[in-house]
Amino acid sequence: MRIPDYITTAQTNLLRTKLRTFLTVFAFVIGTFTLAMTTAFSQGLRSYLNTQLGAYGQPNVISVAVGASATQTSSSGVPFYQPSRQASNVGGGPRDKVVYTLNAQDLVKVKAAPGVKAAYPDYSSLQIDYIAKGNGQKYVLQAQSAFPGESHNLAAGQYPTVTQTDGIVLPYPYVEALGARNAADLIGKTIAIHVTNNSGQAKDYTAAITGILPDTAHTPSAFISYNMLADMVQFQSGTISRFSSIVAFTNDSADKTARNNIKGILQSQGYKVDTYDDLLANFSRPLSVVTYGLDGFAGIALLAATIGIVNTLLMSVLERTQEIGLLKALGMRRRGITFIYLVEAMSIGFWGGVIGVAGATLLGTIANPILAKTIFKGIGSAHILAYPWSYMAAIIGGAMVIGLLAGTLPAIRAGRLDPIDALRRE
Amino acid sequence: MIIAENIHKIYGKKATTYEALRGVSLRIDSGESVAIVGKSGSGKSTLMHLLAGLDHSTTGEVLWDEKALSGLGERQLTTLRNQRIGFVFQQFFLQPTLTVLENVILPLKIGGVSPNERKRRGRNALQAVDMLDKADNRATDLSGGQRQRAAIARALVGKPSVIFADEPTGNLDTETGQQVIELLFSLQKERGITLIVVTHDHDLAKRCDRIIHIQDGRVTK
Repeated sequence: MRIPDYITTAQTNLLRTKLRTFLTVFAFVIGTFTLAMTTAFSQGLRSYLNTQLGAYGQPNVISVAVGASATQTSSSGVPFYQPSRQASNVGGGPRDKVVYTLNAQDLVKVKAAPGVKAAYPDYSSLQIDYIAKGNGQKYVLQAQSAFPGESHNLAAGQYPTVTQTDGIVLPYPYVEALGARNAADLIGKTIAIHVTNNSGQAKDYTAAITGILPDTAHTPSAFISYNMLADMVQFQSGTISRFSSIVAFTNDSADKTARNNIKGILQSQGYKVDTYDDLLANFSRPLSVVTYGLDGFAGIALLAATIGIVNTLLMSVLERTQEIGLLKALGMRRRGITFIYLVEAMSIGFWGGVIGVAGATLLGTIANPILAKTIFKGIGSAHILAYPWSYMAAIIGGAMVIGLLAGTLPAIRAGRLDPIDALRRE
Repeated sequence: MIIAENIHKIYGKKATTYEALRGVSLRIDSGESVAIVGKSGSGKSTLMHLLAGLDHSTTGEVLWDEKALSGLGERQLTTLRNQRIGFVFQQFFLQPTLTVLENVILPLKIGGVSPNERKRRGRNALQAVDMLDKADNRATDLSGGQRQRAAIARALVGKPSVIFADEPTGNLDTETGQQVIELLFSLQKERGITLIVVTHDHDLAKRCDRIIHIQDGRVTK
């Protein structure tokens, strides 16, 4: 027989016992539907997570800090004395523990690493007392540096330009707090930033709002122009020559290998290095665990469906004994008979996969707008359930493979039937 | 030319063995019509299965054109059945879910003939048994005689050199049976096919060139 003949023969055979085929396929649909839904959910969450993390980090940024390796700390855990590295009062923060700092020498080393475009000290220890717009209500604010050339996804406006020294990007909740109707309204307005130093002196800095961060589940820090933030730290702690970490920018944000290279080089020099990938991995690891768990349940459903396929096909081998005998008498080979049954089993898997995936996609199309308006309201992701076609195709393909495996036993049995016995049976 | 050389067929094992054929030798020439006649249980069906390569003899050889079937592999044996043999069964064995034409072209489908070619040859075969008007009917819509004629068309469609007919009139009334016999023999003569009929219908047996009697697994005359 030709390949198309095998396929049409298998489909006709399946249609002969419509109800039984339907039930067998339906059992399979339960598994593939569940698998498609868990995949959609985890894929959706993953892309949601990426959006959320976009407010915290970006792929071409590498964070470098003092490492815990032997060059920095003794094997007993008691730190060595290291000139110009011990600092208990960096940035004027709480002094209850020793903070190891980096200095200008470290900055030189990081800048020298191949693939690093630029590197800046990160003064994240700045303590702002409050911010206020005009004579309005005072609010607290966490801030970090907006490094030259850095950019994130914003709800409105843009990052301070490379030359701008007094720009600030505020987190989304400040739109409402500062009495604006929407994010765009605040762009170009100025706010006062009140900072007190170690000697108790206070100073107000005036910053222009250049952008508003997207509305994420957790409120991130504001970003202040690098130079102005450095000024504030200088004022607050009296020095900017020591810092807790260095932020390095790579040449190509898409090049994962390049940043892993840099990470390796800097780690071998004794630094603690975190890339965007590390950040992502930290967040997605628990998600992966949950996904595997859900997939496991779908797998159990598929296993049950597999037994259904074996059962259905064994039954049809019994029923079609005579027909198989006839086909053999008319010159069909053992492997031809086996192949018909394997194609039938694969077809059950195929239809189970297609219907399950189609059903899940349809449900997602209906559920996504509803989810976006209710449970996931205001977090800026319209696709909580995502259906990447490659994953969906893999589910269908996987269902066919499972069908094929399930069909092996009945197919071999059918192939082995003796044509004489088969034809004699009335 | 088909030759059987002292063939034995033993079923079962040890205590429950049953010897269906006890040394059968015969020779059937091309274009001949031969009736194998015997009571039920005489071994005539077993003999037919062995001659048609559906089963293997325990000892002895069946030779087709001087080639022993025991020396052929599964592929060659199935090709032999597909290309050179047509089967007509007492129970017709038409598939109820297929149309008459689809039933008729089954051997061509198995043989890998292209869809257009098998349709053409299937319609020719149906024309030869005067059933072309029923081509698109379901096999279940046919009368007994029509079913057997469709089965004959299926046996003819592959242009075989030998047709094995196992009680072809067994499920038909006398008149219909007679018509089927006429059809079978006229086609056999017309196409020079070797016809081997297993039957206990004496009218059918008498129409053959030669009758081989089987009793208790042996040829009696």
